[in-house]
Amino acid sequence: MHTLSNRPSSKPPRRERLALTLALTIAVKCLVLYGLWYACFSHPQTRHMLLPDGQLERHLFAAPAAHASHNPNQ
Amino acid sequence: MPPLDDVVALSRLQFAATALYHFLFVPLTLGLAWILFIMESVYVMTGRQVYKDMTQFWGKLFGINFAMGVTTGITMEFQFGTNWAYYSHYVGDIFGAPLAIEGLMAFFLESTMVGLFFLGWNRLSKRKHLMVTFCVALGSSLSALWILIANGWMNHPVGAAFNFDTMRMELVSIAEVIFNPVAQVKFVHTAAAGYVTASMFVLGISALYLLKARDVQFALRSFAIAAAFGLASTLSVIVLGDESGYTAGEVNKVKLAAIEAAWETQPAPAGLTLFGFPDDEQQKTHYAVELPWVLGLIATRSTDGQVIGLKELREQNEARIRTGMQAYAALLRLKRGDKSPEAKAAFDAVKADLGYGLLLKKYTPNVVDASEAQIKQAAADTIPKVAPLFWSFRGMVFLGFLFLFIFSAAVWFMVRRNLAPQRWLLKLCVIAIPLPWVAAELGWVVAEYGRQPWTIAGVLPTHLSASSLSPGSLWFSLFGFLGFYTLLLVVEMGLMFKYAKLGPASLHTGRYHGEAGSGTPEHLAEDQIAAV
Repeated sequence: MHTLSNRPSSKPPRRERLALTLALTIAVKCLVLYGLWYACFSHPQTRHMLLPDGQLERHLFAAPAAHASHNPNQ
Repeated sequence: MPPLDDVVALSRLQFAATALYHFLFVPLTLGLAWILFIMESVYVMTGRQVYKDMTQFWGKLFGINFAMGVTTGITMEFQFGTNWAYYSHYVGDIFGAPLAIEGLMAFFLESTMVGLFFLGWNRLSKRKHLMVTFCVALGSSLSALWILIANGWMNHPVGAAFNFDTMRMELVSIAEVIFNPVAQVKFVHTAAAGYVTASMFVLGISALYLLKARDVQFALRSFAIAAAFGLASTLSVIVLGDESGYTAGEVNKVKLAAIEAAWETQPAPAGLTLFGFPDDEQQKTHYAVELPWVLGLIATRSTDGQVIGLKELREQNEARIRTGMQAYAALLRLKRGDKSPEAKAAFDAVKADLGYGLLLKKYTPNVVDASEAQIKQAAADTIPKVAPLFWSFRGMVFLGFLFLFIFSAAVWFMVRRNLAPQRWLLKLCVIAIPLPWVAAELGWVVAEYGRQPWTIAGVLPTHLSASSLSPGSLWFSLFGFLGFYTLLLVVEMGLMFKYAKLGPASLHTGRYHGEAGSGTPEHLAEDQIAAV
């Protein structure tokens, strides 16, 4: 199979350029995702899909109506 | 557009946006992996270089899509814990396992095999490399399987029971969760839709080469494989979509009735509204064009099975809300410490409708003393808006039949060796490249919007599932995701256009269009295409 690797050029071969682009994209993606996670999702209310004791009970039994403005009685 | 400060609506919008973006990448990976396997199998069986070139070129486009798409789904898992904390707690015992297995599949099996696919050409024997390609295809489909098992459970929660001590749904039977009929149908329908997407992608780009009379032998073989695989996949999507409709008729009656704008319960077998303008306010469909019997036959597979209309379903749901109020009261009694057998029996008798009682939390903190008006309003909430479902479904089905026509015509003219004069078909194939994505996204709108007002159908209302976050943080992360995913999409499109334009010449074998010594002048290429 012919490759461009023998051609005199300062640029890397096109195939390697694609691999480089993809590797760079994945690296940047991981960084951005980490940034988004750190900024917005690193302190979830649940840990291992579990809420602190009693929080769901308070949500279901004691919380005020979330959409009181839609209350058909009002 | 949701209200600027509605946390539930913003959480939904964020999840929907990330899921829809994620699914721009998924179907091509799902389908192209199997097309690569078919191409490489032919290479291993025949030893013909062109099939290896096909596997490597389409593999390159697969690699671009995989690199852009991988990890875009993980952001949904971020959201579970942060934006959907109550939902996560409620269902974590069931949801955790499929998500963890999917993570293992995606990150270990699939990613490792994708790496081997690209790096193994000169290091592995032909057969071993073929096995790697098979594992790439299998791994991507298995990843989808586990996600769709989780999603299927949200639509039809089987194999689990509510534990009032932990306030969670707990796993009773993993087999029931895995073999949930909704999950199974959803998996095969979604996977087959991915195969259609990839087939149209290969078909369209190959058609472009044929229109330009370049790389003709390469393009013809790619076109033939895509046409055959696409035809089989489209037939599967349609048959499995029909099965999905039947399953919905069994377990998601509201969704089915809303999709079909079936306001009233008709005498069996019900007619299918082919076209019309559903009016949610007046609960009727204007200018409806009906096909008698068809809906009843599709949805019940019988001539005497009834498709229950939305008005009757709402009445049934109202009755369940009243029972749900009793369940809520019984649960409250248990949580206040009365663990007597009588209290447990009272709860067990009505706990199936606890979720319906929880619908009232939107209107009153004290579910047990909800007013008649609140009960009526909660019952009305159990019916999603009909028009978006009606139109999304019809758009998806129309596109499905368009794909059937395109793939059938492609196979027909290929078999008759009469493809070259059909420039209209080749142009149609190019134009149709993005349409399977449109169909897939419409399908997800039908599936997920049709589940409202529930996150877990009949068990947990959406408005109780979301965390107590500030709207500002949701807007911030929403724009973060949208900006980032849009950038990824732009990069993907740029690379795809670039390499599709380069074609197999990007392999630098010296045999293809535009390469020095490729030796296929345009007039010869036109002769080749004319021969088919």
